[in-house]
Amino acid sequence: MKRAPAGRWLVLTAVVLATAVLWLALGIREGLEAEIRSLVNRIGANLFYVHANEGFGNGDLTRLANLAEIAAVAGEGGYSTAYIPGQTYNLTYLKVSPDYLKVFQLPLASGRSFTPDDEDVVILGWKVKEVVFGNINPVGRLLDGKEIIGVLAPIPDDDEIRRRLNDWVLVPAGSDEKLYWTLLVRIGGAAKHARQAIMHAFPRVTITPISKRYSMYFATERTLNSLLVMSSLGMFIIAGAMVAGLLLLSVIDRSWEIGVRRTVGATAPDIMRLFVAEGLFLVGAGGIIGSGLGQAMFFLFSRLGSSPRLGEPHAVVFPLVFIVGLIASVYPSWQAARMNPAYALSLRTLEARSRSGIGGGRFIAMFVVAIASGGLFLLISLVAGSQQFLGSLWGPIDERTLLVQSPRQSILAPPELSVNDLRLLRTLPGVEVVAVCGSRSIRINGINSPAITVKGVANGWANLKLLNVEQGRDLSEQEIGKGKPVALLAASFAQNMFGGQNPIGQTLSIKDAPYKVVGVFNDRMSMWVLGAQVIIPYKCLEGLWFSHSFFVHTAPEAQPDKLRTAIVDLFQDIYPNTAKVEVITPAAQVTEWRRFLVAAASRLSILVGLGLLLGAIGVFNLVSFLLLLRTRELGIRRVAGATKYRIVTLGVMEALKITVPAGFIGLGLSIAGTGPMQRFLNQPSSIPLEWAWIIIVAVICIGVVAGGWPAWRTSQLSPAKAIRRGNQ
Amino acid sequence: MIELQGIYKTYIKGQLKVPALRGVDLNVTKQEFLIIQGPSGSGKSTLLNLIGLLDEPTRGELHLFGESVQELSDRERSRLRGRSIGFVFQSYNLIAHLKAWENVAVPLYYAGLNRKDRYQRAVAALTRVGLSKRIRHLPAELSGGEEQRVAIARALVINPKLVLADEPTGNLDSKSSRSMMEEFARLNREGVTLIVATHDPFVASFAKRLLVLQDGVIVAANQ
Ligand SMILES: Nc1ncnc2c1ncn2[C@@H]1O[C@H](COP(=O)(O)OP(=O)(O)OP(=O)(O)O)[C@@H](O)[C@H]1O
Ligand SMILES: [Mg+2]
Repeated sequence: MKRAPAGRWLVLTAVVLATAVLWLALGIREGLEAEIRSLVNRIGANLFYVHANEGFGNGDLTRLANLAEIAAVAGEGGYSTAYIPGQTYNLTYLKVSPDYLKVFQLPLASGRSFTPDDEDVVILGWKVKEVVFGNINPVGRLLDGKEIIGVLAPIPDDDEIRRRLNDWVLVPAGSDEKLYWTLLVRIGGAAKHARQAIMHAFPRVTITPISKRYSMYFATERTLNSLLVMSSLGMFIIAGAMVAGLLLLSVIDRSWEIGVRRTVGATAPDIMRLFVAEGLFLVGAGGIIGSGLGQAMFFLFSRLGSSPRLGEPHAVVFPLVFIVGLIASVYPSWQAARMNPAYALSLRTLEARSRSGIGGGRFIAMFVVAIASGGLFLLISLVAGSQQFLGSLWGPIDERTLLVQSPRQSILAPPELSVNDLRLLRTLPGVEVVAVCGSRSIRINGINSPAITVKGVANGWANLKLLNVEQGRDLSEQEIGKGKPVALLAASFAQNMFGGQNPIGQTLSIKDAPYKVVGVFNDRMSMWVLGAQVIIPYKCLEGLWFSHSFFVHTAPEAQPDKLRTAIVDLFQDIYPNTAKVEVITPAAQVTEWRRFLVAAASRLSILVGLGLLLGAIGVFNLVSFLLLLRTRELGIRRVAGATKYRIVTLGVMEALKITVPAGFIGLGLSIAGTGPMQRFLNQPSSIPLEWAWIIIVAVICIGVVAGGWPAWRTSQLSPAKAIRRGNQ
Repeated sequence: MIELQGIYKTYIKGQLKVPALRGVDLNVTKQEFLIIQGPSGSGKSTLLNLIGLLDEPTRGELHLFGESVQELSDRERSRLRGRSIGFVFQSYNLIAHLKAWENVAVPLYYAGLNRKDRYQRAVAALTRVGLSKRIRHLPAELSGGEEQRVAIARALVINPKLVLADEPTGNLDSKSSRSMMEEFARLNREGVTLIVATHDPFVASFAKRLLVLQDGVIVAANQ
């Protein structure tokens, strides 16, 4: 009898699911990349950023522009924010070379661009014009003593790189020695040659294509997409392996038929074609249905509004489906084709066929379970590693800790917070502890770097336990109170400053006074929020602080949201016509990240769960087939007195022989893979071996179910039936 | 037409070597009706498998239809099997999920005939063995004798030069056996060369030439 080898439909389903998931993952990825491409195309893909630590002068600019491969060059200097006394706005100036607008493709709303002779003229960003002049066309007027020659057209918000120019004022760079931090380069010919030419002329620069600059803004999304694509590729490989496994079983199942066909003249390629066709059919049909399913899910998602960007993954999926189908069919088909016809003819009964062994099938079932359980452990590592990472970002704070500061960049002049505001803050109901801090940029003596930001903290700081002090200790209340010369350093800064040496106990010279380093804090995220590399007692530089901010600890009964609004309103009252203060909740940011992690992990866990299900199907297929081949033997054993329970045990043992080693292999593979994955995600490396038991439990469960179920069905056959069926 | 020189066949099973044929020399000319007799395990099936190109000898020379078989590619061997040699087995070896006519037509498929021609020739072959009323039956719906006749039809449908039969009557009663052997004798008269392996003395009585095999060597032969 020709049986559809157990589980053909299950395997087809596996291919369908794997393709659908791959289709979705690639589609989402392709959608994002297309969006980045469209951003890049707006500005032109032939734009490169060339950056040097020591900056560039006008001579460098000319030298670069004269290279054959370079079409045009513009320079971008540093920006500086000017507080204009008596005005409600702030002006941030950016020094640029005359060609800047042309090279950066910035259209003007009115007026003209720079010429090389321009001095004391400005071009306004759109928002600057709106804030300062409203609806009046300002071209020809003066701003801060400089003539306005043009206004940039508004830059859309999705243009992450250029949109800041809306808030800025462009001024022509003068003729100093080093003017520009960054050069914008339009290349003429091939990117590779242009790069080589630039590197040749300026060996110490870094060159970044504009596409890479835009990609960085989508780094998190891209990383998540890569994870999704990688795991769905894993799923697809599993599905391919299952097809190969099914075909191997099918070859054994039909070995005698192969013998008959060979006897009447079928060539080896004829036989091979038989199985390749079956494999391609399974993968092809599964691939087409799966792609359709994936596309349908796209539509559903876009209807629900959760995924606005959809790419077109068929260019990748269809060839992949074909290749995987081919690869999955080749080995089994080759096995079938090279079978000796006389031998194949001798495999007339199921029992005879059980002699020929199912080595390949066992290996594939193992492979599938190993990949799936490895994926499970990788997921556990990802979650555990991320938890550890998030836990390391801040000290033991919760959402009751707020940070109140002037917005760092705004067209509206920021409120100039001062120590006196401390008292006012304390009067707000719900505020428990307030610590003031001042910050300013200082060149640290003895290191060759631009000025860094130092923050002075006053009493109350130590009680907040805001930072995660990784090494040494935090500043104590006593040191803060007395203004002792001690310092707490950001880890990245300490690394720059002291290299591999232990920074604790070293001294640091600030404003010619020595400070002793007592601790190092993790600044992977706090750097971004806190914006300071060195923390010292406030008293040390009293009177020298440039700007102030406050750490607020709210009472348990207070509602943080209400308090935030109250704080913003308070400062609007004290400083009318200024930008609103920023109230940041560090812990809320961690919570947001955690939410993102949970979303990502749950999506990946669906994939891993599917992978494990596929593994179970693979084992189920294999054990069913093994038992089918051994039906007669089992019947004879029953006649000889074996209980049903013994038969079930036999099936479970067969399955465990596959799943348990596979679990260990998967564990080994994923432990090897954890390091690269965590590096890829920029996480500290950690392997949560204490969770390894989950893998073992999972593979044992798979073994018990996938082996016990078919064995139970076999055990229900009457011994007489079993013997007859085995003789088929 | 068939020439065997110093044919050895040894089955290797792990450490164990089972010599099935140990130096067989044999010449079969066109239109012979050769019966191979011998006790169980003497190597009859092995010899037929080698002649039918289902297996390869460990050592020795085998010429079939004037060609040295060792030099043939798999494709050429398959072509010879499919177009010149018909097989009949003790266990019929019909494909269970194919109807009678489809079973008969399988060799024609590999010979590259279209479906219509395959059907016509398969029906003709089935009619010849007296099964014109069983064309659409599955093997499970046929008696043992009918199944064997389908198997014969499959061997004949290609108009073979050579028919190899291994215990063709092993599962048949004496009446079916007789009609089958009569069919074989008629074939032989039409010019087909026949080699039949058996231990049934009744079958042996149809032989033009008889060969006795024992422990892998030919121990007796008569014309
Ligand atoms: N695939 C095989 N592997 C190992 N030994 C084999 C194999 N096929 C046959 N033999 C051995 O080769 C010898 C010859 O077997 P063969 O089948 O040719 O005998 P036979 O004459 O056809 O016997 P019977 O009349 O019982 O069918 C026997 O000893 C047998 O055990
Ligand atoms: Mg035999």
